Amino acid sequence: MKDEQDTENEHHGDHSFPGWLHAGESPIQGFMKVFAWLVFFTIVEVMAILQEFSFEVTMVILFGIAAVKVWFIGSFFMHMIWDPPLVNRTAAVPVFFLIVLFLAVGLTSPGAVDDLRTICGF
Amino acid sequence: MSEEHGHHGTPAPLVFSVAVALMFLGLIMATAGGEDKEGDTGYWFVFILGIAGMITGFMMWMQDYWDQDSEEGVEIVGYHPFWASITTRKFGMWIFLLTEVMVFSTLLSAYLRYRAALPDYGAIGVDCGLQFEACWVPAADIIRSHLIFGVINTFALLLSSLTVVLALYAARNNNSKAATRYLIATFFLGTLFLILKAYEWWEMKNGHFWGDHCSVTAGQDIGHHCVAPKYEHGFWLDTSLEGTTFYITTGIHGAHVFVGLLALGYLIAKANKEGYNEKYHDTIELFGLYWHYVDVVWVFVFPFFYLY
Amino acid sequence: MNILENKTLNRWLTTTNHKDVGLMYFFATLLFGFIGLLLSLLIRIQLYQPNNGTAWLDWAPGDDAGAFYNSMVTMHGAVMVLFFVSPLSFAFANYVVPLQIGAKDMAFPRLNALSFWTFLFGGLVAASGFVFGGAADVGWTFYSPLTSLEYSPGNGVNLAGAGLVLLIISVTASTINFIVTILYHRQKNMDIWDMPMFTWTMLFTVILMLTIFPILLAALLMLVGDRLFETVFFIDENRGSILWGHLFWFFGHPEVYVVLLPELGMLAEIVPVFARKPLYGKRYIIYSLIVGTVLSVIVWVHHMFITGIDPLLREVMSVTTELISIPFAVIMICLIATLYDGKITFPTANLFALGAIGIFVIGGVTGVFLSSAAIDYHLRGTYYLVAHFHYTLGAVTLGVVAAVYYWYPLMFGRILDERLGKLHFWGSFFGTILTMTPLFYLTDMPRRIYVYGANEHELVWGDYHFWATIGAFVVFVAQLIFLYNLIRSYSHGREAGSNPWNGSTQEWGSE
Repeated sequence: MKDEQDTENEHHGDHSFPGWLHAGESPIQGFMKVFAWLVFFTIVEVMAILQEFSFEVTMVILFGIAAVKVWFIGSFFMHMIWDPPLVNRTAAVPVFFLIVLFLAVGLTSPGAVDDLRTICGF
Repeated sequence: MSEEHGHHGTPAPLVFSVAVALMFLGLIMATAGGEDKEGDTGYWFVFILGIAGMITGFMMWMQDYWDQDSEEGVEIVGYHPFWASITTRKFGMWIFLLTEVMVFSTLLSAYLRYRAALPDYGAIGVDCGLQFEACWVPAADIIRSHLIFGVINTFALLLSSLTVVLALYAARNNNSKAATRYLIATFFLGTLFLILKAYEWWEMKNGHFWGDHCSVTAGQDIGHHCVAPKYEHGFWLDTSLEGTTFYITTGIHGAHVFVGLLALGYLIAKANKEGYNEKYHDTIELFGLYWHYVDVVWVFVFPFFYLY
Repeated sequence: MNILENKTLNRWLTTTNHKDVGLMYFFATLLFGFIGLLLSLLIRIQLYQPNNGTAWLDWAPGDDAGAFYNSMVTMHGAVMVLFFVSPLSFAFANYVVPLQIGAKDMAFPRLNALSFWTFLFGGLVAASGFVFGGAADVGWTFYSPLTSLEYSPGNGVNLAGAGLVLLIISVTASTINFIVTILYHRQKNMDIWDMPMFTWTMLFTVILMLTIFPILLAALLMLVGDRLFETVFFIDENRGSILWGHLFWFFGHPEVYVVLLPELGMLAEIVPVFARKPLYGKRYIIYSLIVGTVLSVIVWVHHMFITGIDPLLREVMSVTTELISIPFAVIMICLIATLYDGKITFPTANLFALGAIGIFVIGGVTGVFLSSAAIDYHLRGTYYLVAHFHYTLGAVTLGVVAAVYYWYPLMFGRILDERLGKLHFWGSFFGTILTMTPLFYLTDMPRRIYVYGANEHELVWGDYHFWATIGAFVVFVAQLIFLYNLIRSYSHGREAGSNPWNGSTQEWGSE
């Protein structure tokens, strides 16, 4: 595979941590910021629920925010943005299975109120 | 020929497997075994034996690492640059996390399936029946008045994720003291999470989250601090699908937190004797991945079960 | 090379070496295989004539002969699929894959030992139901609501569930191990496209296992929750049964490919060696494997055509099921094309490999009919279906046995006796055909009954079952020859040397 040669020099021997750290900068501050964002988003989530929006808006807010939080945790706490591409690709493997599971198992209850047909409109 | 390889034999896998088998046998025979299908309490002994054996196996397994300055697999042994860009153990941990992703996505999609099949009780023109049995009365509405526990738990897990990362950073800076402290903080946050969860479960099981004055008759809207008639006697595993999905999903998540705490015990002990330094901190990173993953699951469980 | 000598019991119990673990897998799967074979023989004996009395089942634990028959069917299916064929592939994978890619050992040797022991005790716990008052009698599919406490009050389902959980621990450990080993520990000059075919198929197998076994784990946790802790996941008989069907077959259908893929890899190793030609179209086989792996997780609804599922799902999955025959047809054609113009020799290993291809083609072609929902309505739950999947799985077993003949010299330093081997082959080959072909004609007989012959029409079924039972005995006798051959050749077989077949992959000639 092409990638095998591409990444040869950059990543060999570098497992996962700060190439991103500039000299003199404390990573603690960076992680603190991430944590602050996570707390902020959690509060937004809870506030949004108490506002009694319509179903669609609630869903978009909840799962939009969940996705953003997962991105924060994955990227920074699990260092995915500093990791070699192998990690990201590995982490992407179950996405396909997840989609199949949620669509075909989660949303196809016979006689369901919300199933694929009602959601997609056919 | 095998003796030439670096790895010596160890009975740990055997002990661990026998113990797991014993634990299952004990659990099954104690809860459902016997002629009367009522369970034979004597088998709890086998169950305890199994648990003890599992811990013994785990400790035997870890014993090999205990005295080492290094951790197995820190050196990248693969020959192929693309794949060997992270250590074998870290790659293995990522693959393990993939399997975990599938476990939770199965649980959540089962939940979604059941949830989508029933109308929510608030919907217009829906007849929910006398007990609201034909409607989905989400766990979220029962918790709503006491959501603060869930929120605190969320913060606890997020904060513990932060402390794990900081512990890793401290270990990299050869600061064992700080690493130990951060790990201990993580341990306490995880424990706090479990305690709050247990308290919340207990209160929900016994129906303490809603007052007696607040019974709802058929067709009425359920106010936020009231509860559907079907939960009059509490909200537990066997009450309804709402209870089952809620407790099993959050319970399995809680089990993951618990396993994480056991692993943390090892990490703290090892960090305390200055076992992690600039060169060898892989294990903290691997544990961190697991712990963050548990956090990620919570990020989905929280809106699924506590908010909506 | 004689690995069994000079080893104390202690050595075996604590070993983490991949060869030792592979050998232990080999012996354990043979044990489970014979258990499964004996169960199938008992099933065939019960069915050999109409209105067969059940007196001989009376010694069975429990008071219900029918339940005992059901538990035999259940354990036969579960043991054969989950504890025999698939782990036997892993026996070879443990032994051969590190050698093929030039690795010193597996990436995580102790995890490897763990996956063996959990597998072994998983099988024992699942089978221990026979001791603890009746094994699971619900079919290896564990269909809800049959598994609810109401219909299956016994402990068998719990024990089988616990055994499967242990198996899942084992599988998780070995998937991690194999993926890391194959990707990391290849020797320097081996590009990923240079990997031998068996290693390739093992890679796809473990990737597939990685994604499907956790689904079974979650489903089992729900089931065990229902049975031990009074949760209500599957209490609603309509919705619960379909949810279980979805979750189980989301696992169960790819599991069929988990069983099949290593066998294809073995065939792709064996056929070129004995045709004395390179494998035809290796890249196309690999592309087909990729396509087949992806498709295999989106076809599971064909197991549920007659349940009350969304018709849309039925149409989609009917099409994908028909599509999935294409990549595997490509692989078969590549294997057959390998033979073209080759100098083919016919030692037992090659006979088994070619027999496996032939049987698999029959199994595959009969499966295409079942993929059509309209035909499936009629053939579902009849012996036609039984014959179909026994042809495919029979082919898989023949292929794995071919691998036994092929790699036995590597593992034990001696070649299995050829005369006994040929006897074994012809017995197994014709036995399989004789057992399963008559069942194709029983398109009107339900599969899960143990006594038949209530009327004129049902009496006719007896003729077919008679021949099927004869066939089962032929297979059984052939396997006894096999067992004798395995034991005898260990001490009396011809010395193999380091490369008896002139194989070109690296395990030959390595230490």
